[in-house]
Amino acid sequence: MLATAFLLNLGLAGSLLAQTGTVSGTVVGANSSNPVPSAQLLIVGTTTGTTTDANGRFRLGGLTGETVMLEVRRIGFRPLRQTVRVGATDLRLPMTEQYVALDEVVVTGTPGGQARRELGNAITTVNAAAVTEQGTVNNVQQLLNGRAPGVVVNPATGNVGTGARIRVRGASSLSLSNEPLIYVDGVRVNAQAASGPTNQAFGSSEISRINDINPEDIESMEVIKGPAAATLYGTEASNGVIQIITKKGIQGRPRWNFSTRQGTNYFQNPEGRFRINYFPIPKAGGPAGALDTVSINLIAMEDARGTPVFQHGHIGEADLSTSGGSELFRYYGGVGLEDSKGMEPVNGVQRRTGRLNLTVNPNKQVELGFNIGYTNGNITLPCEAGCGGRTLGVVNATPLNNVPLANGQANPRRGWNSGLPEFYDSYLQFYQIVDRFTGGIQVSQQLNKWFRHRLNAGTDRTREENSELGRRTEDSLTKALLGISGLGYRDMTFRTINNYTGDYSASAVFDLSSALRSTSSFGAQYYRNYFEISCASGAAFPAVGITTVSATTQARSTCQDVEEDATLGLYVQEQMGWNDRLFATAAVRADDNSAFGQNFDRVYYPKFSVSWIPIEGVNSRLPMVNALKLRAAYGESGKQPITFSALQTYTSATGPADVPTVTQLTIGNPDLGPERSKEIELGFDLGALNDRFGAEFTWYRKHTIDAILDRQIAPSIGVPGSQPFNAGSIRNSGIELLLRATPLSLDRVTWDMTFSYATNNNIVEDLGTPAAILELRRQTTCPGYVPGTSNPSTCPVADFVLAASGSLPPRHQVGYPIGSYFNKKIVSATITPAGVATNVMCDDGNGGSILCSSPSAPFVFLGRTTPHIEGSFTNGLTVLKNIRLSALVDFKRNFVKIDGSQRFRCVVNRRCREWYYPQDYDPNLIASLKAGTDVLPDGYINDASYTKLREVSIQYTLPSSFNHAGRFSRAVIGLAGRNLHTWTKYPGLDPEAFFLGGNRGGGFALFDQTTNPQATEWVVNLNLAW
Amino acid sequence: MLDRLRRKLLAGLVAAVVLTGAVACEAARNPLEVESSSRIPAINVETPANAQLLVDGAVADFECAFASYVVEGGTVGEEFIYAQQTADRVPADRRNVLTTDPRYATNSCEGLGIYGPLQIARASAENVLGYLKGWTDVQVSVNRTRLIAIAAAYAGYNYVLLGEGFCTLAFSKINPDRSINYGGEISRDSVFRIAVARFTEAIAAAQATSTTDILRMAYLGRARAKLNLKDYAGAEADALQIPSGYVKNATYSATVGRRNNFVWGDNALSNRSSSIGDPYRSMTGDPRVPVTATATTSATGIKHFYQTKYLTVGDPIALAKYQEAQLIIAEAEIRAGNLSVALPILNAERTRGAQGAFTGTTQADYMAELVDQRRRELFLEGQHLGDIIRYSIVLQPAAGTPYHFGGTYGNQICFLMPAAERLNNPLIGS
Repeated sequence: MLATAFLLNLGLAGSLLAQTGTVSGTVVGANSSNPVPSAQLLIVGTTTGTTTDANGRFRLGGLTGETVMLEVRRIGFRPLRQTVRVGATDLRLPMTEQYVALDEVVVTGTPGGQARRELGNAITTVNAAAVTEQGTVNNVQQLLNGRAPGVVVNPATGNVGTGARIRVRGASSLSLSNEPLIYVDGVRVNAQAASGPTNQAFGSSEISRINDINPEDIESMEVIKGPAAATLYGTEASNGVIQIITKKGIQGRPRWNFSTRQGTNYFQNPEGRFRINYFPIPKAGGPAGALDTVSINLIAMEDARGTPVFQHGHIGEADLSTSGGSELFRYYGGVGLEDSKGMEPVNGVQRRTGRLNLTVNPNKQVELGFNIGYTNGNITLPCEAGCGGRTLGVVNATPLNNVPLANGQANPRRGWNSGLPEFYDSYLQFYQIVDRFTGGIQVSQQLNKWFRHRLNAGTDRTREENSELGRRTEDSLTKALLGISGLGYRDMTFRTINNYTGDYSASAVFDLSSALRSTSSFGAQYYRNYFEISCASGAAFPAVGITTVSATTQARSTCQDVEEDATLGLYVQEQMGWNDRLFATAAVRADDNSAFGQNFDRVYYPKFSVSWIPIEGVNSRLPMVNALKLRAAYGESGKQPITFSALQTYTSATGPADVPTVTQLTIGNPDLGPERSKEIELGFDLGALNDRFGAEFTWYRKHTIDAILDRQIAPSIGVPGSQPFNAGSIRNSGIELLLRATPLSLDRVTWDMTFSYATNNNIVEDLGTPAAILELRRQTTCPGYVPGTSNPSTCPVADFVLAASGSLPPRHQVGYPIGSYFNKKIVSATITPAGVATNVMCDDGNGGSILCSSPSAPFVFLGRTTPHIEGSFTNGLTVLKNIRLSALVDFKRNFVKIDGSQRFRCVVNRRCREWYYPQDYDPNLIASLKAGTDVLPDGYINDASYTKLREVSIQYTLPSSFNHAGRFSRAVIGLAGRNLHTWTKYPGLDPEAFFLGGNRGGGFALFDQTTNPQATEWVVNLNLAW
Repeated sequence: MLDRLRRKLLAGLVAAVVLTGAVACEAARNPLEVESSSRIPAINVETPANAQLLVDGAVADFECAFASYVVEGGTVGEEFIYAQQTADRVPADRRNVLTTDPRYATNSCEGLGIYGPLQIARASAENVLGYLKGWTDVQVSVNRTRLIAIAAAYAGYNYVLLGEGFCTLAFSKINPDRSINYGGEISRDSVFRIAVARFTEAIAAAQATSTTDILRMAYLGRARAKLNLKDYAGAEADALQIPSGYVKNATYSATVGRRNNFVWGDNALSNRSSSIGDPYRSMTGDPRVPVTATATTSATGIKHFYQTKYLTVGDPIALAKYQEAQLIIAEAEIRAGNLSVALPILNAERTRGAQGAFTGTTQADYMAELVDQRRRELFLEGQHLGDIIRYSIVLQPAAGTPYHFGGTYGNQICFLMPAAERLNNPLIGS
């Protein structure tokens, strides 16, 4: 009986097994082949469904029949229906990306964000997770470069661990930062573009804070480009906002992901890129005083000697992350390690990152988010700029230092400019250590059907230690060759930057009729920024090996300073939606800020936008078009003055006999208010040919008024520095075009491409200078100008202010792009048989010419420093479903840069061929080079337009047999290259390299002096998921 | 189990909201109030209780500016040769400074600026002088008249240095209501006349308070100003008030960079920004010009010679001293034709320099000797640039000589009014 029953049970079980089954597999993007997490799967005609995990994996059980119809949905992709065989365990479901994802939710400042269909402005989303898997990027700025039209990322130097200047829709502030605001999961964070040790005052400060964030932890980045979109962010948002959204836990069992990048970076073709130097040396066997002008190829010489100037630096990164959780509780945790070396032996980065993101849903109405990020980094930098370093040594190599000594021995300088590179490597040490914590808590609640609110609080805390160390050396050869006393010095700077964010917002939704929906939002934000700096420096260590400041014996100094600013803002917004097709939004924001002058009250920023979707889905009149959105927006935002700049202040000083006393610090301005930017943008989003073609087009016009100018005060007033005042006006306008297409979509081959193109026309309209001073400037800058006349058209270069200190600063000049280079421009010259430039004529600014040596020869426009045109072209090819090739070419056009290396080697050190064989060159160039330091620099201010093969990658998704063997759910191996080729007419080492900080860097200057070019990089990358 | 967890999470949520609310309420007390721990609003400082503080500040501003002037004035003059490769230090050495050159125009004193730092020091002294005159003895707890003497004397020296170093000048001021009174372009002589007026004020106040040190400083300062005005008799009369052994130093220390002796910082055994100029390299044996040669050559090919007049970063620099007064007396007598009166002064100077007795006979010989003795006695004390102008000294190297770092030497011997002043002062050029 029992046996019968057992057998019956076995039979029943067997029958049941035969009748139910499972399907499992992976949902991937059709173009990228990347896994699609959180996609919803449903068996058509049933309630059976599931969602994909972090690796796009899914499993559905309890299925009956031989086949089932699966429907897959996810925002941003076209819905997919596919019949699958029950029992299939290795399904690959490719979802086609929607080029116009109208239901995708983006962060806008209101609780829960807004669907793209409601927005009247463009917001670019960068799918960070997909890019990082390609292995082509090392940091967040590289992640952004070429992927968001209108966003210009200018990398400064090729050293590992260094950063870039970011401009969104051009520069609109004359004296304040033009960097965009950065938020990480709703918390405003420190985004200083240039930090780190500064060498020789004009050196690089090469490290950008945004790169503290590990790209592997980022899910996506949203770029809110201008005041039209950023009004709700208020004061400080006029340069645009970048929202970084980190990865969150996805429901399911724990999923682990390990990725690593191992490779090399190097100075590509140095021998072909460094110009050959010349210098006269004593003629061998000749009479006393006879000279021979000879050349030197230091790169080849050092190669032959077995001591190559530059090295292949190792790139090493490893990341481990896990995510998972339940309906109640989800988590994402990740750790990262970067240990890379640059092209110079002393350049390196060691960075450790950690992230923990928790999401809790105690019930269906409430969601809590806890996000914590930590970074610890140590970046060591070579001494670029003027204090040594390998690039400087080669740029200024001289045959004179390679002439054998009188005793016949080889010259110990080996042709280097001053010291040998190995001496600099051992004598100098520049580094930055950073500790950074970013944490936030978000509480959002759907209180009832119509009311939703959100509280967001967080902090970002950065601690930097910046150090510049010159060690004591007793070695007489080192001292002689470096031209130093050898006593050593140390300069330490410690900075604390704390940002606090408090943000409450609420929305109420009312359906006024079946077609009309009202969404009312209001919110309050409080931001507080704290900055503290302390420093210590000293010189002359008493003995070799001692390196602390406290052990120095001379010129010791210390500093400490604290700055704070706070902003309190409120906004209200009303949005009316009609049939989910037409949306009109109006909002106003009010801000007060601690840096406003005592005579200035709060500021109000309005906003209006309209979004209309005439086509969504099948359309009979335009059957080729599957989605079309037309949009228009107007909005304002601002930029607060620098902290305390409104106050006339004293600061402490040390007096005679070292008594404490005070000295004047700033003149202040009690009327000072924020800069105010007003922007209008119009555009459309188009999806066509069943989402095989997409286009986004935007035209914008941004007008900044009350721009804060740092007016140089007459020094005779007797207060140092300058005075800020609201006066200037700047206009930015341009277009942004993003085209995406899938020209080929076959079962085994998919080809997709993206082309972005953006222009930025920038003009300084007004500098608001008082008439009396303007008159004076006309007299001094406009030849022939008759004082008292009022026709400015005769004096097109009438007004300017300096944009930066240091050599050859760019200027802001009415009628020209902000921060442009102006100088005398040579139009003709004659070279005598003796090689002297004569009859050197310059542009007189009126179409004629004037002797350059004339005091009346005007400075004329030589070029802008922010590119007029930028864009990129990306191609991706997916072959056999598991091989992905992609390449990104980016370009920047129509801007100029100072080739400071040429200035240094040729004009200052006279080590260029042009100096000794002037008849072989353009007389205008010779006239420029021989005029003296910075007298006629237009010979070394050059067009820096370029096109660069920025990224190339090939990825191979290993077959399931490998995964099964290794218990992986997904394994991808790839090869990626970066900075592989540059097309440019720029004569220097690299059209991109420039000083990011220091007094030859800053907001506008593009000054390159012996700065390392962007390194070429090749890495092998491996991604494993299980 | 799940419900219990949910209850705990809800409790946590409530706690978090309460905590956040508490923080927000705390911030809301005065959410825009921020710390200003290193800056003091002017209205809080410029009070009678701070009179001594403000006077000390004016002296500190002057001493920093003075050290910077000695370096850059010595570079334009013949005392220093700039030896390194920082481009913006070259024009002063090459004597072709452009008005747009920020180094001399707007740099701080620590950055070896001249025009800006001296104007700041002048304005500091004039500012507190104005307040002191407006305040009463009752309001000012310390001796107000003595403070007036100090402020006026240092103001006077600021004018002297500006007058000697610049071709033309302008002086502006901030009024107590924070409005600005701009000053127009004036000549050097006008500047020296303002200096004389300030020294006269200082003398009166110092006499009233028996502040001997400041009294002598003001007398010698006025003598120097009058010398520039070619009022030789007046200069001699003031110089005669200076007793043997008198010296008024600008003081320095190692405490902070701003208090450093920048001359030592620019040129010493271990400090090689500058080398010593040619005329001073051959004055071996004269203890007033202690210069030592080394075998070190800079990257620009300049052999390092260094001074040992200032041996540390805290050594003082003489601002006014007995020997200067004696040389002013000698000059006045030479110009008056009283060579025999000048001779013992010149010989006393030569004795200090380990030189033999003076053997010249003509007035021209005497003037040449006087100039040479001033060059030696006042080496690196901020006097030689003024002497170059006043005595039309033939510059070494001569104008047109190739400069070691490119270009040729110019003939600029006074600093031009900076463009920063011309472009931002509405009264200049109009």
